[in-house]
Amino acid sequence: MRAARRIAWALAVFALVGSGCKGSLELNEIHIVHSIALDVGKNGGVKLSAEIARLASGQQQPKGMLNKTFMLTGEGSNIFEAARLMRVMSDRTLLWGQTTAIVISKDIALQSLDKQIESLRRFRQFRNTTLVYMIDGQASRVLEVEMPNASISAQALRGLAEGGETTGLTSQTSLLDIYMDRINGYQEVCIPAIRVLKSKEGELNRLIQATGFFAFRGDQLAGFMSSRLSKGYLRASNRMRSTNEKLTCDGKPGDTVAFENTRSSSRITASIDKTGIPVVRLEVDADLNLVGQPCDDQTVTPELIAEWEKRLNSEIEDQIKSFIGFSQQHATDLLGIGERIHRKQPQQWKQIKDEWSEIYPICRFTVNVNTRIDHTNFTV
Amino acid sequence: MNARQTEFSEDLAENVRRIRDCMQHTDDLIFVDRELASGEPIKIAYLQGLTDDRRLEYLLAHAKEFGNEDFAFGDDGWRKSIQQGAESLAAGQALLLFANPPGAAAIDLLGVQLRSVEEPSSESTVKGPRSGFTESLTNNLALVRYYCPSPQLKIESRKIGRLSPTPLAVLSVGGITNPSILKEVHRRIDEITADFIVGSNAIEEWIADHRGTLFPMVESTERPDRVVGALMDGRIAIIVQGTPFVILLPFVFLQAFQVGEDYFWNFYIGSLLRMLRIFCGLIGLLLPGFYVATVTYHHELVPTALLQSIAAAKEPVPFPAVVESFAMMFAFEIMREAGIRMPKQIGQAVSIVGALILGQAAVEAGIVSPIMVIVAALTGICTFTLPPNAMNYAIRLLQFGMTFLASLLGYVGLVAGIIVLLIYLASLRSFGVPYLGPAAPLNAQELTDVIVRRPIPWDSKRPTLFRAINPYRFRGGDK
Repeated sequence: MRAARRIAWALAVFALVGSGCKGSLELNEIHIVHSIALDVGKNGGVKLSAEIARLASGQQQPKGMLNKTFMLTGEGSNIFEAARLMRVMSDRTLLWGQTTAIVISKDIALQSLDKQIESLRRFRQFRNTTLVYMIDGQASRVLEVEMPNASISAQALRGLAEGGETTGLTSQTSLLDIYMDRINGYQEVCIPAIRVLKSKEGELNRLIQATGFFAFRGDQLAGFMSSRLSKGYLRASNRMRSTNEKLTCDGKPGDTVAFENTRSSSRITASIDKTGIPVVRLEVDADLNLVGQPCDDQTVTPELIAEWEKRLNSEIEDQIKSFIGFSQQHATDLLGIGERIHRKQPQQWKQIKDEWSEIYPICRFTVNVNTRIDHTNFTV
Repeated sequence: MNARQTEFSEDLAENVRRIRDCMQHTDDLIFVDRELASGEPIKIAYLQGLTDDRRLEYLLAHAKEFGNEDFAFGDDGWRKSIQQGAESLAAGQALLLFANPPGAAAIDLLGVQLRSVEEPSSESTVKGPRSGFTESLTNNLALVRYYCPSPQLKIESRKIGRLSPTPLAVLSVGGITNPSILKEVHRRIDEITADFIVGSNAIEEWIADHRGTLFPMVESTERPDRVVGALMDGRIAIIVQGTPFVILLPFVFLQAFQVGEDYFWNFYIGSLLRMLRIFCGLIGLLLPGFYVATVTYHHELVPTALLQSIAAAKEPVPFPAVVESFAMMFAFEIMREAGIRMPKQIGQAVSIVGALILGQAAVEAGIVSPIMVIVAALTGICTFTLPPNAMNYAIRLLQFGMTFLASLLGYVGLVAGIIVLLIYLASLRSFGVPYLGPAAPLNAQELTDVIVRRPIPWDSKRPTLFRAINPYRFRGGDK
């Protein structure tokens, strides 16, 4: 009995040792992929580029995120195949799980967004929080940028997303956000857009800049939203945290009064009126502080503040209306109006849901903006 | 005890010969001839060096002034057999051999040079009493009496060891200690069949519920205040002659993270320190395994910037993380053991050479990564925060097992190890008390008291774990 027990223990330990360790990878057996780029490959396939950190070795102190990077590229009929072919050129296993950002080129998005997002999800290596960006042109260019402020492009891309909270020109959009939008169908997908700025000499790619959003209708690219439209979109969708606004001085086109928008919130109510047309009411509240110098001949008085608030209401309303105009023109329901009607009036929604892409452009929007200037930072 | 007993005869010379035979003709056994005031010859026997010189000289010088009535001992001091007399001599008593009636009077003249009461080196304290036990049983009992001047304090003396009877005392508090546990302690002590006992650890191993376990089944302390605190909780103390370490029982797992000093600080500080010790215990047990599992299996879980730094530091190291980890942990244990065994002055040098020079050189030579040095150092330091009892060693030993499991199966292995450990701990009993109590079986109120040091005025109830007869410390106590 005792011998049988010993044999059982020995077998259990052997099984554990034999079956264990299989999935282990030492850190000096892997390459950490920081960001990837998807471009159109030859023969309509996918060209996958990966930005990989070059780790300092030897006696040097570890440099962390200050290490230089190198790029590997693979092409295949899909992302998985391209990634496998990339491994053939690599001396180590590639660790995709640390990927911070995925840059998708406009050309490949024009083919089909769903195909790429599905492939990325099925790859099962990327984090849900991986940021997604789009670029008009070669996506791999983003990974080659030699920035003065960051040595790894992924860091710059993360910084851009975080900066969106203060600029109101971009926002953090993750792989999971896009996947959820596509699967749930509550609202259309919107992906932050970037572009690469060249150096003054015009030779080197030096900086990455957030430029707005690419809007989709289903899995098809609908259009590009510039910074003004992006602001309107972020305000209307209640995703804006902070930004800046300005008002021109009367009679002096070059002079402006600057405000910091410290808080912005929006509420959307949507319903179908008696005529069967959806009516959407959008209310926006914004708190602002005066941060620039008033116009030359102005003294800050309660009356002036009230006038500024009135003009800001009008300015923000215009931003939002511009965005609404864009979304109706391209029939892309980025605010999820259809889903709001579905939840509020499910019976009526059943009747219109098949024609929603035709009905959305004729929805009646009412925008009401209430700004409040909290601090003028008054100085004597 | 030797079963064969030879009674003293009326012939003093014969008695001397028999005692010499019984004590293997040891050279330090001295016999001195004296007469009493009545002219009756007596012999005084003692072991040289074991008796107090001053008191012995007094006895020898003034023997003639004593009458027989001065030695009218009760049964406690009268030895009827040669073997009893020999045992008394070995215990440091002097024997006065009488021819009529045949027998010997034992006078306690023990005078071994023992150290005085000092601060216990293994349980030093910043705030709180600084006296610690010594090797003398009587001194230790006096210390307990000093800290607990209660008539309810009960001391039961025993002698254990067939060849070398070692005195010990079982301490309990009448009206608090559960008599069934006390009875069980006596039963287990009676069952000890060892020929001699060295220190309290031998007693611990004899009376423990589980003899093959890695975990301590009883608590060991050098501090009288801690003993008194335990007695007042309804626990039992065993003090053994020749060791400053007193056994406290029953003992449960979570008590390993408590120190007596918790009660000498403000309860916020006491609670924080207690929670810190539990946290450090977890770090000590799991950190190396967690590190190995993370860097070999779960790279995705580490923040990118941190992984980048770890990877860069690991780049020149040729060994797998688990080998690195074992090497560092093993080296740390060697240094710790060397530091303890070496003379104090050299011990410091060993620490400096080991920690600074070897560590730095190993990193620069690319044998280990700097992050592994940090992990090993942090793990080691965390185990230092625990009171230096057997639990400390158990955790240090188990960290190797956890690291091994983590290297095989990653976090799955680590979690499996924790589950097996918890199941095993839950199966242990210390004198009938569940070892994981009050966590399992769960008693939320008492568990809170184990983790958090409550303000003393709120702590009116004794722990139910130790089944004290009187469950209240105050406010309606004596129920």
